Amino acid sequence: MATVKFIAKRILYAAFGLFALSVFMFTISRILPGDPARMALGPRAPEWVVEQLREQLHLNDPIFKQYIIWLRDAVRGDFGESLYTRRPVMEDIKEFLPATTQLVMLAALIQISFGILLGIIAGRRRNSWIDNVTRVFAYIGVATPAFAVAILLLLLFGFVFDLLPTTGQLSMGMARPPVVTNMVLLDSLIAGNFPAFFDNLKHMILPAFSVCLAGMAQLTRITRVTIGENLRKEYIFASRGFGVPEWRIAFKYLLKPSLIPPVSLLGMQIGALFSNAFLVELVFNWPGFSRYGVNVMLRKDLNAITAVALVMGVIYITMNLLVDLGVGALDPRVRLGERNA
Amino acid sequence: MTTLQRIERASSRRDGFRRSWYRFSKNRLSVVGLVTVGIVVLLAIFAPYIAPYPKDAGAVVNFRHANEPPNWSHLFGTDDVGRDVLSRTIFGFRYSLMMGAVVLSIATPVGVVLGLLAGYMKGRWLDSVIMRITDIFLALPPLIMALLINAVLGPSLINAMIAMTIMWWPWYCRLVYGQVAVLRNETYVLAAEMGGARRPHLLLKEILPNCISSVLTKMTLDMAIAILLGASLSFVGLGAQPPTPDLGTMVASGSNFLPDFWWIAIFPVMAIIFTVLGFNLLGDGLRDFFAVEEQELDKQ
Repeated sequence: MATVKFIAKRILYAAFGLFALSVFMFTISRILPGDPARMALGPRAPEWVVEQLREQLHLNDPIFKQYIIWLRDAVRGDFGESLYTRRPVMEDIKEFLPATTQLVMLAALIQISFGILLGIIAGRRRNSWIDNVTRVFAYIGVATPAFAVAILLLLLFGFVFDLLPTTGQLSMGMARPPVVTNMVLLDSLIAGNFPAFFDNLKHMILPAFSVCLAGMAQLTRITRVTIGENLRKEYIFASRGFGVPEWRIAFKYLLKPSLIPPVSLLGMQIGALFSNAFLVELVFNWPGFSRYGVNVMLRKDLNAITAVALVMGVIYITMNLLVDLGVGALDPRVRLGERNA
Repeated sequence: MTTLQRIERASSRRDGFRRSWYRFSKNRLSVVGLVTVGIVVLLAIFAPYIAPYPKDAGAVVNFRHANEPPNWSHLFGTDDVGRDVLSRTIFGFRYSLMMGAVVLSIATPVGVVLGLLAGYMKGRWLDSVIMRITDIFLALPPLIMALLINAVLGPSLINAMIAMTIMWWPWYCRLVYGQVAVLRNETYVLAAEMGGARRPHLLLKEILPNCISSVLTKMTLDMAIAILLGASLSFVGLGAQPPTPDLGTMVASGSNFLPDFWWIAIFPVMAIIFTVLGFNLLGDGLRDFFAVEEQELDKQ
């Protein structure tokens, strides 16, 4: 019962957050100077045509009514037309979002596996050389913006050692597999096209590492701290004394409580991964949602900007919801609301 | 504070400073951070006197020296129109620090005041209004939201700072709110309350001074994040516009000339890492410093 209440409360918060975000984005995109109808048609369109479009876009209605109309359309997946690509924004999202999703998912996979593994090793061998290496790595990782990581990796592995491709998601001349999910990695797998699969994977290595390096550094540090703390808990000594096998202590008694802080951190880091993708996709010319986002931002394409904000908000808030539920599963105190007391 | 304590405090202030410095400097990394930040601040303040070619900070063109690799007259090389990269990097510190300082000096007071108010009005409608708005802001990815707000306002250095400030104050609000919740039940606050102290006094004289250390630590660490965020906005093309020698803008234009003219982008990148690392180390040092201080106070 308590769990159901906990989940319901979280979902309610998430829904409210999204609603507020949509109001916020809609308001700032409408109260700013500049007439969207005029911007869409250009300065030379005659006034009556502009007036017609204004009527068609409901721009003459009071703002709250405009919002309701906009919301009604948005719920149906209609965000209007992008002034940059001259297509419905939804089509752009369908085309560009999958490439970013696959990049961020690989980055998250790398970050979680490497980050937690390094953290466990460093935590179990405090002040060893590997602990010191991860410490330096963590300091530098946190201090380096994603675009800087991208540029450094690009120079190092793309040009100095010339190991990996540095631009786009497939090599020149490599045919794109038939579109099913719009994620090239999945599509090539579905088509059974393994050369394209590995080519795509190779193109993803540098961008994925650039996206997740900072998060990996943070994750390593926090895992190291909690592992180190829990390693000195009495129940670990007690289990050892009772002769519980070391692997069982490690996985069952040590890892579970130690993973609570790292998992809570992950929620924020999903947002950071998408944020970093905004910067990294530019460097590697990755044809994803973030590059699209930056392009519409630079062109002040309000329909698309609002849609990008909402899509990012939905992803971020949903991920945080999942992470909250995950932490609840790991930590009964959170689930039962003891922490708030 | 009693008179006796006051006298004691005055006579031992010098001593206290020395002791504090000893504790702070025990961690070598904190000192490294302090020195790094000091160097960056000095370079930024005296940029026109230190930079070898101060005129290159602006829109100067000198095609005869374009794209020169690092050499003795241009230690960091020159960019695509022949400007000295070292000089521009030194001026770049100014913009980075200015962005961080402006954003924090607006966001911090706003967040602190709202956090104090909400914390004190706990359970009333004002508390819920402030904290729900804060929660919404905290539930959104800051970089992407700053990018979007910046985009809607239009690309410029000022708008980048406005966008960052809009996304920043909630963190301070949350921090102070949490602190107030803890501190308002401390004995000295309850004692003052029972002694008939009014709310403004309790908030400003009893609770606020005890939040300062955590706010200060957060500001130092946030300076690092603000510099990163500012550089990212400029890198995307929404923040400072060329020819402003902003570090992010320089990296963006320099990255067009990779890999052949690598020095145009790499040195500003290094400058960003250097600055951010300095503030991070200093912030970590301060956090440990204040944490130890609190433990010592608890013991007394």
